[in-house]
Amino acid sequence: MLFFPNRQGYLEPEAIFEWYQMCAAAIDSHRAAFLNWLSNGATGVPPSPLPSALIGGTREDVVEHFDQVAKELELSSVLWLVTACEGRLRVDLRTRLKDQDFLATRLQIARNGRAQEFLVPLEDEGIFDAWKAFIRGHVTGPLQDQAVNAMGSVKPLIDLRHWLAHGRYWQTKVSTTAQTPAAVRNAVTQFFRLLDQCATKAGIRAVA
Amino acid sequence: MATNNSAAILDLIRANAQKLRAEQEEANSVDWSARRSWWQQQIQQLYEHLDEVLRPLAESGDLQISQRPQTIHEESLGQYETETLELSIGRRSVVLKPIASVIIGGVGRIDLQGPEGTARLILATPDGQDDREYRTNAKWHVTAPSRPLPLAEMDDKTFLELFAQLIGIRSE
Repeated sequence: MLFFPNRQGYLEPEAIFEWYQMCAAAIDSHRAAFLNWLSNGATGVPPSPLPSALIGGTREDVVEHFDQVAKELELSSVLWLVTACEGRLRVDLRTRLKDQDFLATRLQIARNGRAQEFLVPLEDEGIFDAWKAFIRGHVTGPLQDQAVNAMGSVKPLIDLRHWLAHGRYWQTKVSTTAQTPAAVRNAVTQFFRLLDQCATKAGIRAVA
Repeated sequence: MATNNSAAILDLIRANAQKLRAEQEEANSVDWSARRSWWQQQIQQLYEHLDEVLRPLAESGDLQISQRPQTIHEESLGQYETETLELSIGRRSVVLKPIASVIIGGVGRIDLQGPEGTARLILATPDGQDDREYRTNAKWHVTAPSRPLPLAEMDDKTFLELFAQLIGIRSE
């Protein structure tokens, strides 16, 4: 059994975030072991594993090295969080395509005859736009703006997910500094909470 | 009065305190002043050796060799004075800059910076030998910052090749 639970058919952001925190603590602990070893004169056996990049390293190099390692962990965690978001949207799509309401109809249009649900795009007349049209047309008051704004916070994450999943071979315009695991976890959680409120308010199926 | 739970935590702290004290005692047992003098001496000895190796070039006027004072601060060694070594041909220079003695995987590091790149000299005991024997066993090794391993032991030829590479001289 894997660590990230998949009870509803998609990964749970809280579990991913908890995993991130554990891994980050392990990195901090390994960094502290090296700094402590250097403070004591760097004699005897160094902490293990000893990254080859740290050979010849000073305190400043250790700090920089582990900052970089921690940043890689952040990016990996962000990738998992965004895939969790995408997974939930697609699980929701699968159930909703059987319905007859406005959102279901928009999603069927977005599907556009594609045999497999996973081929329905997220962007470009896809799932996001279907939800946006539903919110604009069937939800009023502050909730409408909140939900659209939450969607605006999540959409750049899809660009970040593409950049990470495809090997970072181009320069991303999305800030990797601002999109920390905590910020992404919050954005994703808030996004689904608001989508669910919108669904409830319009009297359609709750978000999967 | 300590409960069962707090007694276990107290035992844990006690056990770790002993370990931390042992580490501190080991660190305190090192004569850092002697280590600092030894390190300063190693730098000077290296510079003197390189001066000899490069003398033919200096005597023919092809190479200028100069030293400049440099201050280093290290947590264990404190603040101390040393020198950078500048090797210049025309407007191009390679600078040897001592970085620290207390490093990972060695007992001293000097960085080389030239117009065509950077490299490191690591003063280290050969693989498998206790680095506490550094006074008798440590030797200079050449390595690249981006790919430090394996450390290659430095001799006159490897230093000259490195210098030529960093200053931008390629074999025809």
